[in-house]
Amino acid sequence: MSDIIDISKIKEFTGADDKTVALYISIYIDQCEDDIQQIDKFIHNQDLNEVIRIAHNLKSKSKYLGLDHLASIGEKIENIGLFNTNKMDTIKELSASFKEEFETIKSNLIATKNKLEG
Amino acid sequence: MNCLVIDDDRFCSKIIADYVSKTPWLNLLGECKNPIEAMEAMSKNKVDLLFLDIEMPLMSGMDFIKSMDSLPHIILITSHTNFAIEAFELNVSDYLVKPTSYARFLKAVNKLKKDQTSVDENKERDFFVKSDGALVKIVVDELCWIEAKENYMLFQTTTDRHIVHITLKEVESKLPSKEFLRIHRSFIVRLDKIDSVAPDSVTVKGKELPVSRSYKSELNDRIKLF
Repeated sequence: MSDIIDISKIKEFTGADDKTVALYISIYIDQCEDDIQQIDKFIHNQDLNEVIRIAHNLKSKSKYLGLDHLASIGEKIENIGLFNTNKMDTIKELSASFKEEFETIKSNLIATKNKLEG
Repeated sequence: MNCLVIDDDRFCSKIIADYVSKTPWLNLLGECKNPIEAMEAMSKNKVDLLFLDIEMPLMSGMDFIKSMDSLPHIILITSHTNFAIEAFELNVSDYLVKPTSYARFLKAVNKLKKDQTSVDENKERDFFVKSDGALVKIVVDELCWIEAKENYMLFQTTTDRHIVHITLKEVESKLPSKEFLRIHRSFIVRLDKIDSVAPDSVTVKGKELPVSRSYKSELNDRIKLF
């Protein structure tokens, strides 16, 4: 199974070694899981500001790992939250799409992390 | 430099904290999830530099900057690209867009270090002299020339002149030798203040200063001739 993220590119970009990149992947997975739960909660509570903030963070951290598709979903949620009316249904769909995509690549990320940890 | 990283996202915060940790002249005091935590940390420690996110709960990074009377140096690190102009108006040292590479981070902190070193050097270069019974600060960058009179020196700056009882030798020892040159037994001139050079004189701020034959060759070597 090939890595979904480009390890050498991340190492060059951040100046990190294998173990540190493994730690980044681990934090990324934990944080995304927390953020997905949080965003569901805030969608339910109609708290748009918090939805936007979390989507913004999902975008930023996904970009660090070169997970552009996830970053773009985060960005779409953020932009829809900021600029559109009748937003929550669309945001809910996009949030579900982020979750699905994340679950699809999660096992690949864990395998990469384990490989880097040796 | 003592640093704080302020970012509500643990992943992004960790990356910047690692950048700080591996940069020799930076000392990581801690990571804060929001500006309120940062204020508490700043009340307990001397902080020289903040790496500050914009989008945060409780208070945004921009509001934090505006709310404080005095802040250490700030480098904004954000995914937002539209706050840059406002940020520089608020005197931030740099504005980095996420994802931020270690190379870009280093460029920002190196620039800050260089600026800081230059400020420190200027602080040390300037000196006080006794003139008319008072101590007057001589800002080296503003000094144009020094003229030796019978029993005193005349310090000509861009805005003032000061009569000082000191020897030319003592003056020479206080001045950065790379920037000043003795051109006559009675004159020391700041090289970058010279407007024109004639065979036996230089003109500084409209005043013609004599150049002795013995100093001519060094003067020619030291001025940039194209």
